[in-house]
Amino acid sequence: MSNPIKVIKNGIIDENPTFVQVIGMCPTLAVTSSAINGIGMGLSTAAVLICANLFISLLRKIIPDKVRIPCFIVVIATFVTIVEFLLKAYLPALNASLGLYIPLIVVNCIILGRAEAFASKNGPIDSICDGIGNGLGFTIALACIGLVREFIGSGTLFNITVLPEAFPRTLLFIMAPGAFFTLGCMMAALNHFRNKKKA
Amino acid sequence: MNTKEIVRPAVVLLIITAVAAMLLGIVSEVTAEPIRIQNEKTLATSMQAVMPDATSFEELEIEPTGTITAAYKADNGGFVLTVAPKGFSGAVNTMVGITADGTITGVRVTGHSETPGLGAKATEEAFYSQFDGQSGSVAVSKDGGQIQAITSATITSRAVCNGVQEALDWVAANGGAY
Amino acid sequence: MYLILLLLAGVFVNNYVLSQFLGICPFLGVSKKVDTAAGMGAAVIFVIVLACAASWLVYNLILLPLNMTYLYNIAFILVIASLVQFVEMFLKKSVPSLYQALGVFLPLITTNCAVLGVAVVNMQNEYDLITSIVNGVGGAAGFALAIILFAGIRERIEDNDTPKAFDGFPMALVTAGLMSIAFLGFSGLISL
Repeated sequence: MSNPIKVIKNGIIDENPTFVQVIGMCPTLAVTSSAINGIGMGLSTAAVLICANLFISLLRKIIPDKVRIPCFIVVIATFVTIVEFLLKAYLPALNASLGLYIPLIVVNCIILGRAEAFASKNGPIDSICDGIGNGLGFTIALACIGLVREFIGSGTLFNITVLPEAFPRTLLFIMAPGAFFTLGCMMAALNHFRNKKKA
Repeated sequence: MNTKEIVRPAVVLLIITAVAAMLLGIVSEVTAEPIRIQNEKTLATSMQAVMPDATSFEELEIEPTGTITAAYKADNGGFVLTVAPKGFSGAVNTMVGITADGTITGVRVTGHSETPGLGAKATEEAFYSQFDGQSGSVAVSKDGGQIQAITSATITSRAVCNGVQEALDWVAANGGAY
Repeated sequence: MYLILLLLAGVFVNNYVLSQFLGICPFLGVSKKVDTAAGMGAAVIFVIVLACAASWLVYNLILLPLNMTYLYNIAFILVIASLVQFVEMFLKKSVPSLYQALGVFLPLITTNCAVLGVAVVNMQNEYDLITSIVNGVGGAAGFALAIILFAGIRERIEDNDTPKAFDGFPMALVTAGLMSIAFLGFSGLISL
């Protein structure tokens, strides 16, 4: 686990947080009604994840085992709040569309999960790489779901209209049920390929 | 269990929390000004959009009546009001620009939680522009008015009309006093 | 009247799980059997009500007067985490039977975003104490309803012959999607 590139690749592909580990589902489903929102959420989470991983890794020898979870939570909540302020100050439109889900990054299982499983056991450099890998893996997954939902639901890609006006939009896909369907079908497709590979 | 085992974790947790709180205090200080400027800019942009002729706006002290949430007086004598009428799934925050003689100069929906793709179309230019130049009373065509409701979103369209109507009534009743 | 509407809206119209996507992790994770789902639902109702009250008190009596609202996120999550711990210890000592029923679910609740979500919503909407608690009860009851119904469906699907690729999570997600469509029927029923 000392090869940084391997650690990053591991996070993006082999242990993709969304498609393989199936954690951090709430933001995955909630904010992916467009590709831009998905990427914004993914990058915000990645930023928190990288910083939290770094600090937890640095502090891992000081933090007593008994209170490690509260310590992790405090570190994570601090970075989440910083991201929230920065978004409010410099990207207010994104902050408005992500709304409630920014403070909720605190309880995103990906971050606490990586802190517990990786950063509390590995050095700072590896932990940053792990953060980058998982963060990017999460961002890519969110962007894919966002692209599919945006295309089917509102006929646009990155807010640029690509389907002719006359073509009917399946509104359901930018509403709540569409999120479940899109993720379910994408996971089924991945399963299918994996089964084929094995066979 | 000896005291060291209890004290050490507590002290570490306390220090981490204190450092975190301090850090956040600093960040909140630093970003307070940009956040305020951003909020003002957002407000100014939408006010400019509903009343293109005016350059500066001054908030008025008013008694909140109905769904009117705030009122501003423009330097050209007109008024900008924010209203929050009830839509399909919550308040539809709307900003209305009205001249001193009661003509609408613009309408913008600034925040809502309506159905994406249906009620959410109330934020499109095609719907807004119908209000420009209207005066006296506005209503959707289904209620005998002049505004063409958004397809499959009559409730949202009606909500915006109600809000605009409230703003018109307020200017007619109180416009002279300011 | 407003409170009753808020309660009903929380359960049906703005169901936290199916329309706001809060608490999806336990919703997908602990919904294989109806009785465990019911246990989780009960534990969540219990914790959310306490968390709403506690976070309201912390926010309005400590953070607001001290002008330190920027600490809300840290404060809320710590309140919830310690509350969960406290509830666990209390139940273990005084109501062992309830502890046995809820025990395993309690630690999981800390990272249930529905709990923090409701606390943040209460704060953003500036609800008073009673309204906050009612909103919490509504949201939690909605969560319990959704997870119990969902577990019931999953128990039945278990023995069905689904396409191989859909085994496990994909099937669960599609099921949740269909449930979400059903709950969409409630939208617009109550607007606050």
